[in-house]
Amino acid sequence: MANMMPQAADNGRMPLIAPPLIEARGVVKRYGSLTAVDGLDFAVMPRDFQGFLGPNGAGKTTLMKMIYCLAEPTEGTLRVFGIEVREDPRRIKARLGVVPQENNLDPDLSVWDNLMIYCRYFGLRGPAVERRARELLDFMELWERRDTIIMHLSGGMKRRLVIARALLNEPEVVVLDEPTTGLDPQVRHLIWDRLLELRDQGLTFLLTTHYMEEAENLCDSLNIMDHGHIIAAGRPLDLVRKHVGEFVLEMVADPELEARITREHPDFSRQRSGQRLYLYAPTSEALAPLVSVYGSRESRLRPTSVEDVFLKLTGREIRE
Amino acid sequence: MTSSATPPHPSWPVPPPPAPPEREPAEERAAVEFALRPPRGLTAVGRRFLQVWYRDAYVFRRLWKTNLLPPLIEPYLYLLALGLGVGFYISTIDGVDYLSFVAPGILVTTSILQATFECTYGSYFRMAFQSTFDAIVATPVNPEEVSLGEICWGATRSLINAGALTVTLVILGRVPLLWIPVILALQFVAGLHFGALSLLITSRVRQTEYFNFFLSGVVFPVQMLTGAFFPLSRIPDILQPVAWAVPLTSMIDLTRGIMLDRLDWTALPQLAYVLATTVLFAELALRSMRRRLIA
Ligand SMILES: Nc1ncnc2c1ncn2[C@@H]1O[C@H](COP(=O)(O)OP(=O)(O)O)[C@@H](O)[C@H]1O
Ligand SMILES: [Mg+2]
Repeated sequence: MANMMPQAADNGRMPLIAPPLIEARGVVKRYGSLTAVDGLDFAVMPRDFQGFLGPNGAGKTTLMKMIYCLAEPTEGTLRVFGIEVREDPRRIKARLGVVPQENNLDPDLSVWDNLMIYCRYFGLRGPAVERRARELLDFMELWERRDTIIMHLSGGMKRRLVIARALLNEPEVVVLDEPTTGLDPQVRHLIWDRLLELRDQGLTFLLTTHYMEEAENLCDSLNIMDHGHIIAAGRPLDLVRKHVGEFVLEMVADPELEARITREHPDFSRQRSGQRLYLYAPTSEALAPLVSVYGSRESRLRPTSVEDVFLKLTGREIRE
Repeated sequence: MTSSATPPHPSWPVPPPPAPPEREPAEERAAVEFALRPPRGLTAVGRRFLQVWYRDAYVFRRLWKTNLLPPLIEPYLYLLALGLGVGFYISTIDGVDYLSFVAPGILVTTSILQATFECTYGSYFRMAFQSTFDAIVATPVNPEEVSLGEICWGATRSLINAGALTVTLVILGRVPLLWIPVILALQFVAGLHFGALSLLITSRVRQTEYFNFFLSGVVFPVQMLTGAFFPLSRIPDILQPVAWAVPLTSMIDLTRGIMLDRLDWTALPQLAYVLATTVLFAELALRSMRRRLIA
């Protein structure tokens, strides 16, 4: 897969500090009275791998669609490659790779034909793009399947093909909307490997996901979204340190016990979810005394993860 | 089409703002003006609409046996039933034998129904069930080009079936050979007209049931008014203006004029009317489809 990516521009025109590839200022999207995205500000720099996390309905897909010009912002400015999305979508889309939340391959066509039809939309045809399609199918381990009709592919194969398709036009930025939802762990790891390889070659990624493990494995920086807002943003480790501390004690506790713990240890940050109580602290030593006093078979002292940040900020209640 | 070429490397049209993004007050944000407003409707179409047409043609070619045979057989049944069956009891109509009279009617009817089916059920299936349009619009192709590609593909299906039927009519001696290109061009225009009208409806519906209403509530009844199967002179006087207001009447009259070798000066305004309404429907369909595809 050498030379698949366009090399970083080094043509003398590049300013010393590269401008953001994507820049959102006060971006709002309303559907009638419903506000799906409510004033987003963020920037994506070259070679970023930025993740967007959020419960269902948080506005992630709407944001991705505004970036690849399938939805128009109601307010604010959104620039991709320095181009405002409402001014010249064609030039933006020529340089983007898009993996939409729902697969939209041509079900009647073969794997190969899907790629050959798709590249025409970019004005690409001929031996160069055929060679690239072949490399991409190899890369995604689909070459053996090139003559299979889409209807007969497994979910993981379809997803890999959609990713291969998104790379056909040698994009500079790839938008991935839940690329691995519903796939088995083997396929998920294969996709992660490939995405990291592409990142090392210089590609920039935007990713939405419900899998915290995926976000931690892939992303340099995360945006946690809820109700159309970005409620927290930063590098995964910084988010963990800032919002929950590095350790959590997870225990079963009735309100009475909770009241007692609160009285005796008022400085731990706490969260309740049903029967469970979560106590966060920067070190495991701080929590250790509690384990000996209140611990039971159900209690667990463990390092925190992005998932704890996510659940702390968005609440542990089920959405929708 | 203003910009389909992609420079290999980014060159930034706008210098980067020095400060990190900060939120501006809502009033200021709402007032943002853009230097460039992209065109809409037919003026937004570039040559990439041909790739959408190509995609449809490619899929069709793969499945041509199931796609092609039933609609090809149907007009022959009409021809048989009307031309030879009914025609047996009619010596002359409008100065010619019934088969000669009804052949142009069947030809145009075949053409418009092909485009109508393709741009209602066919386009809706691609748009709503396969998300094909969403996939295409995420590439440099715009919604207007998707729409025109679909309309042109509908008209192409009209042309395919009209062509096959024309061969039979030639064998039956009902077509002046020199005029065949003009007759087929007219069928293509009829296909564009109904393809555009159908796609306009497709862009607005949420269920395929509406197409049943459009076909059996509008297309089929109107067909009876347009002189396809019997002369317009048989229609009550008060309905005459209505019949002539329907562009389909002109399409049939033009095709019949050519096939029976009795074109006169009225052909020009009729042709102009057909073309103008076709452009109008296409413009409306393209604009409406953009609203459907871009949220
Ligand atoms: N085309 C649309 N029309 C109306 N409402 C929409 C549309 N698309 C999304 N929404 C609404 O916007 C909100 C955000 O949706 P979405 O961006 O899909 O969230 P997520 O991807 O984070 O789950 C949801 O409440 C959803 O119902
Ligand atoms: Mg989503």
